[in-house]
Amino acid sequence: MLTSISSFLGSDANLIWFMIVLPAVVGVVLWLIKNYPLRLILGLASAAANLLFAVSLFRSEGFYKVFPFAAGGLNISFNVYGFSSLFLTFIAVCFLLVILYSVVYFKGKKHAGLFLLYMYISLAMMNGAFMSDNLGILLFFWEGLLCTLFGILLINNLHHPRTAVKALILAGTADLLMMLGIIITAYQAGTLCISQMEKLPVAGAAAVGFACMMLGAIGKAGSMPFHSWIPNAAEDAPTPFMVAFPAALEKFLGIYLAARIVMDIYDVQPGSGASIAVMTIGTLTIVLAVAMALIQKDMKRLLSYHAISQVGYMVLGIGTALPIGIMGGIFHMLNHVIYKSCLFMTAGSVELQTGTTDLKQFSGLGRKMPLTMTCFIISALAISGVPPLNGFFSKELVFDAALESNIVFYLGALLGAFMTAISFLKLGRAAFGGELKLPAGRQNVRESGPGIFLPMAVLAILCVLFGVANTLPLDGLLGPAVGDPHKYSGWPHSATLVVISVAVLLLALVDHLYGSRKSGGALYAADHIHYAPGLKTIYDLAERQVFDPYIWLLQIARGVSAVCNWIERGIIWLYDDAVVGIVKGAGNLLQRANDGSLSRYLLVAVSGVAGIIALFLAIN
Amino acid sequence: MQVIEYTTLLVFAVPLVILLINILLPRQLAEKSSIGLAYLAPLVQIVATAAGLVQIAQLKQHEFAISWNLAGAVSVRFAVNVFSLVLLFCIGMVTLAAIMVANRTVPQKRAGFAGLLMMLIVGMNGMVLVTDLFSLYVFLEIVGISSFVLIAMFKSDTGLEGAFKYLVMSVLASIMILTGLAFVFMQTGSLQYDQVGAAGGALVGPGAPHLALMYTAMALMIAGFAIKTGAVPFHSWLPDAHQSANTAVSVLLSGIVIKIAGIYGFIVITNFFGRLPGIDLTLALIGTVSIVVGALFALRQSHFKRIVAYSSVSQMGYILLGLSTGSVLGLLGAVAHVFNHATFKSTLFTNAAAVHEQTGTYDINELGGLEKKMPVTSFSSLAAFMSTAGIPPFAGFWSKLLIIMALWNSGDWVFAAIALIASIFTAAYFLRLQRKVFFGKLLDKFAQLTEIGGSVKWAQIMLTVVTIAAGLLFPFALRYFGGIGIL
Amino acid sequence: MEAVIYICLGLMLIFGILAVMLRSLLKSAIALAGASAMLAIIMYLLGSVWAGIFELSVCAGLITVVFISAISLSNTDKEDLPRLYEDAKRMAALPAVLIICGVILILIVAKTSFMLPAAVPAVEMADTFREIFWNQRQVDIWGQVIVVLTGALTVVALFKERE
Repeated sequence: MLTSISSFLGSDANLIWFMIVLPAVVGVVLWLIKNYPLRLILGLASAAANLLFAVSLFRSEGFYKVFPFAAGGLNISFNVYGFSSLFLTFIAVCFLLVILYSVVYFKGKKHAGLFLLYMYISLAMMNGAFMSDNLGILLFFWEGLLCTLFGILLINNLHHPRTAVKALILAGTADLLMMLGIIITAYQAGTLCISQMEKLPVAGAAAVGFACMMLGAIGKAGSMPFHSWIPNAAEDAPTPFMVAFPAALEKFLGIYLAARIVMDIYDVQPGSGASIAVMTIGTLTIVLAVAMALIQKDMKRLLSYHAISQVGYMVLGIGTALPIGIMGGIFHMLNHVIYKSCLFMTAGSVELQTGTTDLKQFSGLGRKMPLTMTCFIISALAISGVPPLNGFFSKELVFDAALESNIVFYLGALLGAFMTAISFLKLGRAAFGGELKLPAGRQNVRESGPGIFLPMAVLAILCVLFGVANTLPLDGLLGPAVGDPHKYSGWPHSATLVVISVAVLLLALVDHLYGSRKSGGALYAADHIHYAPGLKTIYDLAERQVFDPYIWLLQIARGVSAVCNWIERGIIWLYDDAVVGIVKGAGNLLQRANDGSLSRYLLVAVSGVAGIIALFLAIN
Repeated sequence: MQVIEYTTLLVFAVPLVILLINILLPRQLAEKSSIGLAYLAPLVQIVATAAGLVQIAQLKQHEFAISWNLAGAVSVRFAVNVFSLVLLFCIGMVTLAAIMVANRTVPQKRAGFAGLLMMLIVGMNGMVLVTDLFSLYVFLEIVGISSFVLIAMFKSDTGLEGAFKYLVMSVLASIMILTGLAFVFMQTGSLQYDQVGAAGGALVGPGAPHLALMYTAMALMIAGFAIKTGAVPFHSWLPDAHQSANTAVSVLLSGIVIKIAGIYGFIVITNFFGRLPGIDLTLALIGTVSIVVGALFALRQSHFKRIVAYSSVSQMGYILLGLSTGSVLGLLGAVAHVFNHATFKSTLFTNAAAVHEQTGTYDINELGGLEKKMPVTSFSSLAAFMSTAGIPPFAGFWSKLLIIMALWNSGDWVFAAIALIASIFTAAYFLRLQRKVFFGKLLDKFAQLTEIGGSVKWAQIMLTVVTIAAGLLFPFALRYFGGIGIL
Repeated sequence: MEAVIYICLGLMLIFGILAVMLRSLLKSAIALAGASAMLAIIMYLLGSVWAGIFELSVCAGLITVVFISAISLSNTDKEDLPRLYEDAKRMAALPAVLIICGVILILIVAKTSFMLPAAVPAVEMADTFREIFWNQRQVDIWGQVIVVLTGALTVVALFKERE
């Protein structure tokens, strides 16, 4: 059956109709439906159908379709092959879970339909982006996601769109950089189609193109310096958005493109300048973001900073340009999607029951919500890199690659792992441990319903599965897709690394216990780091948005605007005052020669004659 | 052959005949009907020259005598060619417009006015038709005297003063032209165009004293004709004369007299002696300075007619620039601009007459918002302004384009650039005029204003139609002239 | 011969200045007649007999008669022109200006060797006056006729008082 579906999709323009247009249409329909059961059924059905299509495409041997569209090499060309169809499948699975979660979450709340509309259009755009082979068309779908991002962030915030604007500007800047990168790359390669490109060397103008495209790709994923809207979104946007976008979908897109850049478009050598630059960005992201996460007292904000930090691992892995690193980065992305989505879902579950995610307002929920707590614990262990969960294995691959490149990067990654562990210990004990404290008016806390619990459980199980049986994802799915025949599955081959990682985890535990003892409670377990001398000043500045690149952009924009205003005033002065004044002055001056006196006229005339004679004499 | 002969004969004879009739009629009848009778002269002239233009295609030049045939070869005859016919057509058109305006603005002494107008027409026609420098001078004098009297005859204070200034400067011009003529005669022994032209080529070259004499002659003649044209720095009489004369006379003066008396003289004398670099440079300099200075002056004026008069000074500069290139394209552009200037300048003075008749003032600071009450005047003024500024599809665009192209082709791109930039000034002062007089809010005292009627309105309509038609048909006209081999 | 011509030129100049500057209209007209007479003499001395004859008879004679009759017929005060047309400073400066202009002219003539060229192709006066007048210069006849007509019209237009 799968083959018949895939061949059906492969004929004519069915790819476009069924992978791109159909989700959009379903989104519109769901927007108009107000009935909850109907919405649930239609949402699940359409997500399942999309999954079916994606799986069939993955199982087929792939095809390449070209639809002539416009001049200048801008054809709609789709390349459905192993790598891209794998990601289509990942997205489809993720989407199914997210839709179930969202529909249940939004029951009884406003703007459910609008949210679903944007989600489905985003799905359509993402399908198109994964399938497209032509960089111009890729850009079109990429930009489409910008619109839906903006739209979702405007839900509930129509009058205070600060997050939406910030996200638009930051993501827009990343997209502009990517556009520039695409233009330079296309110019260097002579074509817009990735499959027709030979790997370009990273030198000269191509280096600029590489840098821009890379920045655009990882910026979309949420790496620094395009990250600062995500914590804001954690406060303003609905939780299912956090589940979907910063956790999962954007990571898929960004890392997909980053991997393709390094694998197909540019020839990045390990140890080259480009590689080091990318790794630096990755490491910085890891450390700085998790440092910020450490001090947060709101669950969603904390999780969003972690989302940023984890991207650093992926970027670091891909930036090494070693096969082990690329594989590690992509695997880490997959794992991250799984455990971060699960974590956000638990946060949403808590929010549905207590009405808030502010850790200062509740604690000790473990007794009332045991299932949520279990899922949380599993995902937290995964993200901290505790064996034998999936996070451990992907982190080990990245550590291996980082150590092979340079010890500095390895140490940075290790530091990040340390702080990740600390912050999750704090979060877990603060939210679910300790004595029960509930916000006022919410005494009736109980476990969430099956609609919320089911997706969480599936993801938690996947965490365990992909860790224990990591042959399936690594050698079964990712290996063939990337085209790397080396087997990375099984226990990491370097025992030293494992020992060091475990040691770091134990150190984190000790530090957490010490900190909570010292500052009075799990919630304040990280305060001794927060208020350490030197770090305290940096944290203060960060809280005041001094390090926020968005604020820098705004300042620059204000400066440019002031300069333009000054120039404009100068030009207006020139036209309104200067020119007019000169002309009037000249006219006034001349009028003195023409004042009605005949003798003056004659004088002027005679001197004119003399002038002419003089001119004649001069010429000859 | 026949048509041409009739053309030229009519052009010469009809005004004289009308004059005779005018003189012979009893006084009362003459006063009433003289202007009406005077319409015949320009109408006949227009028709005759149009017919002649069609016929002249076959031959380049037609020489003829009047009343008796001339035997000797050295006799001086009248001659007519394509350019003369175009100029004759202009004369007819402007005179027609002037008579239509005079119908309203000349209350007394109509017979005298008509008679002098006929003399002026004959004088101008004669200037265009002769082939001898001395005869040119004679007819120039006729034009000068009749225009002087036309300015002065209504004996207003300013009229007499303006006429006197014009007279004095005109006399200076005549003296200089005559002296120049004399020097040329000394060298070449003849004053006929072809003989002077033939001898001129030989004079440029050997012999310093001869050359100095020739250059002095050229300088004097240029200066003389420049005074007649109203080019800077010889322009000073022009605004005063235009302002103080009756508006019908202003139409004549600016519309045709300064061009026939001045520009045609330039065309004649620059065709001798080959292309001396001194002459070209002098013409170009005078032209450029005229354009800029005329425009600068016009920007400061607040009397309707003075603005238009200074605009004439400026436009004469364009024509001189066209002549200074020495190429056929430049000459064509210059003559085309003569035609266009005749049209739009007459329109503007007619508008001045209309405004004055209805509102009683020429001061633009006291006027405003007239377009609501005087739409025809306003529209024709707008059309004239756009033609002057060189905006397509009005006629002025083409002639300006030709002149600038000719300048560019002959390498004088500095002058071309200045001419182009000065177009901004042209637009500026006319826009100012337009805005202050016609646009804006209608002042309360003009609430009862009506459009001018009668012949003045028809004059405006006719001239506007000519402007627009000339602009639209210009390419075809160029092609026609190219077909008959002028270009 | 040259000296006589120069003397006549000088006298003509003086008569001309007098014609412009004298306060009495009558005396001005007579000074103009004197200037014309000097011009006629110069023309005769230079060899154009006919020109001299015409000049003397028409300008110095006929025109002067017309002027004087017109002046005597008009109502203006013949003796004293209004004082407001006088300008003492300019009157005093006049001789100086004249002398300066004269010096400049002489310098120009001398410096540029502004000589009347000797080898001028002389026009053969083979044709009689009649031939030239009627045939060769027919155009000028028409010109003259029209000039006279214009003059008459001018007088009528400017000076006719009765309507």
